Amino acid sequence: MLKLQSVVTYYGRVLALKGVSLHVDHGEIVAIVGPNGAGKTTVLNTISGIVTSHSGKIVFDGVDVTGYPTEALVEMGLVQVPEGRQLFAEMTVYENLMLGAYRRSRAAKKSEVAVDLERVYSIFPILKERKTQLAGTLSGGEQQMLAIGRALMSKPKMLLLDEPSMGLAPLVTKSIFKVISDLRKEGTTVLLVEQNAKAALAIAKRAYVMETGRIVMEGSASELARNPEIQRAYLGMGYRQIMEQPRNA
Amino acid sequence: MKDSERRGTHTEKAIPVRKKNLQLLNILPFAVFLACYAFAPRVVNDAQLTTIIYIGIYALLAVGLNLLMGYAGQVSLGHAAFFGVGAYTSGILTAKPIANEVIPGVSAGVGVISAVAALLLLTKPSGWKLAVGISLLVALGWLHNLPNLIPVLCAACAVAVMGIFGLMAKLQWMRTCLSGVVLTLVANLSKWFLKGTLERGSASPWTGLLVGVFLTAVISYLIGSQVLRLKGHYLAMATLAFGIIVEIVFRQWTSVTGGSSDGIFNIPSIQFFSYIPGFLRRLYEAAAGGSVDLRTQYYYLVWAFVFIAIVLAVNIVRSRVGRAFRAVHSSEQAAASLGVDTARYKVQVFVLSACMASVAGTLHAHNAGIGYIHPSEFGFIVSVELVVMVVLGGMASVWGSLFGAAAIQTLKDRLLDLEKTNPEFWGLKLQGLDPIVFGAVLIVVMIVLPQGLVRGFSDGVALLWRSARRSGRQQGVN
Repeated sequence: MLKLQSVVTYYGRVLALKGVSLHVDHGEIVAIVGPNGAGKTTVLNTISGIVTSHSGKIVFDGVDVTGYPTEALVEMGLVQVPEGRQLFAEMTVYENLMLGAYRRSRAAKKSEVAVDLERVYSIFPILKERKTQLAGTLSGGEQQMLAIGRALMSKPKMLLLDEPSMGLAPLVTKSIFKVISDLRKEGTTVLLVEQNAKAALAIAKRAYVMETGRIVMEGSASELARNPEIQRAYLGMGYRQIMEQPRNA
Repeated sequence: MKDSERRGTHTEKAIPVRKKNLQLLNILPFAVFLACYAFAPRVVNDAQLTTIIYIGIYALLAVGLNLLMGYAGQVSLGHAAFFGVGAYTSGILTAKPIANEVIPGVSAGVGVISAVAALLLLTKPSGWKLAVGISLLVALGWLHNLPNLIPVLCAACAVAVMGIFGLMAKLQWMRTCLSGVVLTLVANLSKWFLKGTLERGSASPWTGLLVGVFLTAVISYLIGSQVLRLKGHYLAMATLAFGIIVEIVFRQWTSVTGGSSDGIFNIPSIQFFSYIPGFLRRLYEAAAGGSVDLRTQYYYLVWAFVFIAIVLAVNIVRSRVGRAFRAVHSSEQAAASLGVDTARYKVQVFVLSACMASVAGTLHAHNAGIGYIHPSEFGFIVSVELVVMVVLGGMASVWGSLFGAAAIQTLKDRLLDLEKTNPEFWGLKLQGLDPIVFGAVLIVVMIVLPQGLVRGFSDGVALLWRSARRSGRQQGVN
């Protein structure tokens, strides 16, 4: 569904992505994990056209979309949920959701948008309760729900999620990740960037590990979760714990 | 526990009540506005009427600038430049004689431009070929000076051209008819322009208005599409520079603008009442008891424009486009990630607000009984004044701009009165106080009423109301 071939991106003169290749197949959740500054967010921003790539090729849905503007990609069904939610704080929950349907609301019928609105409300009932509230007054978890709901309003084929667990309580993170795996069951493809590697690897089918602008490892999520190096670096297991694991087994 | 329960039921009850209030609140300001509009000239004296006319002109500017600053979040410190472009275009076209042989061409140009614009709006997106075709027909009609281009003939032409371009199938019949009607209107309008121009020997103020808006749109598009890539302070600096450049052009291009020593004078006014239907005019004159003088007419004209601008702004803000503006203000990146074409919207709102400024400029140039413009009226200080008006009235508040303009304009009048008496204050002559006072006002507003007069006032009232209700309920409990 989505394919990147040796994509190189610069921020000014700083080389941020040093040739990233990855692919996401239809209907799967793929995670990108890695430390701060590895270029995970840059990958998403490059895919969604917020940052333009220097070289390389991006193919979405069989079309070469390298250098496409964001609005064209949104229209094709590739939607990003940006890092830190980026809600419109001074606008109501309802208005935020309607902005999600922005690209469609001219062409599509109002009734269609209303149906989608109900769908989002059924996924996140709390948003319906708070629809006249200003987005800035929501709690962190509710804001993340709104950010995802807003992206769903544009009827995406594929979602790019950037750090959905950022700043959330573990329980809230769990419910958000539950929704993400439910979305996949409904047929939405998901590319997930996460620092919370444990949660991400639990719902993803495959995963990529990034370090300093490169993909250093890839494989099925369960495989990576068992990898001792990953366990030590990202899953928060102590050195001794890992060393002792094989002996005990 | 009990307390929280009560609070919970309270908010649940409050929501539907508030909704009803909101609907009433939406219509109420317009009703009050129209009532004031109709009756104001009966209660004020001449000097006050002059001030009110100026308030109207500046309100028009402030409403436009608020769309750009308050809603779309783009600072402009050069807005007076567009005000000036409108004023000078209109002033030059109407005050200076135009050679007879140029007039038909200019009028045909106006006709073609307005026809293209109207038809493009109507037949978008497939109709541009059609628009060009029909307006060429109109132009031809012009150049041959067909004595009476009958409306029916015109509509027939429209249909014929559509047939030629094979667009009948693409466009619905409704649009075909509509564009026929618009075409008729445009044809008649431009015929009327031509007639007036030939009689007068110079362009009509309405021509000035249209040409001014067109010119402003072109300039603001060219400037905006480049400058709006900048953000924050950089954008402020760029627009500031633009404003200063335009002022210098007004001052130095003596052969066209009269320079800073002369300015442009003898600009004719607009007799508004001769354009409204006869029975309405007679009805009003009967009610007012006598014929209406030029200043009052001009008052009605200016505030009619203000009303249109406010209705336009309120509707834009609430529409899908308005949501996109506000989204750009709130977080440009997020708006972009949802597929809002942020660059395009910024330019659009910039052009829109520049065009509103241009209309205000035309009205300023034709001000009844004055008919004089000078470069200093469109300088940097005026741009700053406009920003103060917007901030004082409240960012992102359409009605607020109206009050901001009124407050600043009244203050300016008071300062002028004070300067006329020429007082000395500890050996210091009080003159040119405006920038100092406005600076102080801006600082005080930012500290005390960051949301502006209107929002601050309504919040205060709401607070009082709520605390009064709470104390009332507590008494009831006790």
